[in-house]
Amino acid sequence: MNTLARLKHFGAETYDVFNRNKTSWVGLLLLFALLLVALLAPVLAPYNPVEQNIIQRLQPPSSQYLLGTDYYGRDVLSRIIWGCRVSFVIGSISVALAMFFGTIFGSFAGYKGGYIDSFVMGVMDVLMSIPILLMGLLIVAILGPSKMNLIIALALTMIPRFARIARAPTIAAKNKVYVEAGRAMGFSDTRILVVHIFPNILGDLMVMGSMWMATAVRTEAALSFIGLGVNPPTATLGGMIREGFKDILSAPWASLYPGLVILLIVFSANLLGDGLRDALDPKLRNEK
Amino acid sequence: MENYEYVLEVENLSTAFKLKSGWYRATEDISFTLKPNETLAIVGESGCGKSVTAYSLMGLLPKHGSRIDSGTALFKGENLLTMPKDKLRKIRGSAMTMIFQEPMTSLNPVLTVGSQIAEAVFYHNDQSKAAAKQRALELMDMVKIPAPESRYSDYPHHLSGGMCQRIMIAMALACKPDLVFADEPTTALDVTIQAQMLYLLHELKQTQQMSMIFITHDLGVVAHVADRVAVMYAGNIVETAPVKELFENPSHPYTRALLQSIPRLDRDNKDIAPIQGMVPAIDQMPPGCRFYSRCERKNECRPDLFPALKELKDSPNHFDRCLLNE
Repeated sequence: MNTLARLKHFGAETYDVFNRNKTSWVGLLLLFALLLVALLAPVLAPYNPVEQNIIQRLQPPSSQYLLGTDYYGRDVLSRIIWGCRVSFVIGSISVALAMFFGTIFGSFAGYKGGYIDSFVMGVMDVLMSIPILLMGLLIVAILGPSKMNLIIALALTMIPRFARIARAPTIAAKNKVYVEAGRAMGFSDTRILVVHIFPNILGDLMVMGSMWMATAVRTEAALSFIGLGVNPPTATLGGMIREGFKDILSAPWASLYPGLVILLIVFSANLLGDGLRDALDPKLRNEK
Repeated sequence: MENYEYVLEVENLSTAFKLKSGWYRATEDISFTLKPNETLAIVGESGCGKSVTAYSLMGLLPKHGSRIDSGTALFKGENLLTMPKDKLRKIRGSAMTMIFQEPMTSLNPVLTVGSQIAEAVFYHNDQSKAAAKQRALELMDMVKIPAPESRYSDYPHHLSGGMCQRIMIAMALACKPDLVFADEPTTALDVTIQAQMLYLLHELKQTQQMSMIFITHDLGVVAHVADRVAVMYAGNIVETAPVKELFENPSHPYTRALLQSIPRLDRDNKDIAPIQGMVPAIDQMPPGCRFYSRCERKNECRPDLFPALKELKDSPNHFDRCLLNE
């Protein structure tokens, strides 16, 4: 079989396993829809998200402003659409970075064992003992609030989590006979780690990636909420909740709807994570 | 071909492991030689140090908690035990390879079997990936896997145990090794497949010009595959001899007792005699002969002398480690 056929085979198999857990389709489609909305923000958003209109401020949802307007008279729907974009960019980049470095640290420590393992994981444990929000707060406070710094802060707080997640299956895999056999074939440690162990732990990592994506979006929202997120007037979901908060009783739509969208993102990412876990588990794949 | 009489010449190899109360030798004073194209079977019960010997020679002992106390092991004239790790790693997998006991778990479950063979070829030879794949297909054909092209992209769980073991053999032979360690390669397979494997290995040994060290606890298998046999007991080689000589004239009391304790079709099985007693624990090894406490001739012997492995006077090439045969 050539590469294309193998890819098709892999896809078909994944599709089968994915099908067993119907809710994972809900997660995937929902996340995909939200992603599409974020991507098509310039087309979809009916108004400019930062354009203020004092006359129209705090308007309730109507046919003109589908989800109402905020304190500055900006269209909530347009801001949500653009805010999705920021949330997705921050969430996915920070998770990707954390996954990359966390996997390197964790699997290296797990594979080497001994003092290296104790040292690396000791450092990770210390980092992990600080709550994610506090840690993010600290880093943003030091570096200053900006989109880039927020990504760095979130990535740094998640690296120890991914290191832990990568380490455990690495240790399990390194004691398998096929790793022993790889050593008997004279393969170098790097090759064994990258070619033989990594594909075996990828499933676990993908699952955790989708789950932590939800956390990253949530934390970004929380940091924005306390004013340490992305600078105004850029629309972010968390920032919108904060700005709408002072009028929550008279105009709840300004913070309610962005809150619901955060809920949707977190919810769909979690569902997708569940489905991925099944789809990528070699044991479930093996069942014919 | 370089100039050497023996593919492998092991002398006085001792490997120790760390227990809570200190270092203990799992194998002691292992010495044997292996000629080109020869098959040496190492037999012995579980825990007698067969695999430890192989792992010591391959440099596959765990980094922590084990060490090689003494000995030399000349592989084609070069000492494996003092060689730089990188050099040993290059020899391992190309000139010296290993077939494992559990074929189903020895293959990586997430990689196709063909790519795993190709990787072995690709890694040790300066070849393109396409050439490595071609060679992998040849190897699959050589180990008699039907329709190699369609099996190439199968995953290990698609194949049976016997097929997986064929793949392992193909991997081990990928770089035309001079020496193959077969660590109980048939133990996990059922009897008919065992016979197929032994036949295949025998045939490959003829065509591929390689020496083999066959580790097993099955004397029936030994009789099939081996040219020479080394019998191990409690970390020592107690007797080595050409296979026919060993079965006809066993000289060490342990070998004799072992042969007597196996039921055979061509013998009245009433006189099957189990060996009384237990193997001494690793931290309670006696100073003298390790078999002394269970030996049927211990009354004629003394417990405090450690016998050396020496050639018997009346039969050349037959060595044993018994005070009574001195």
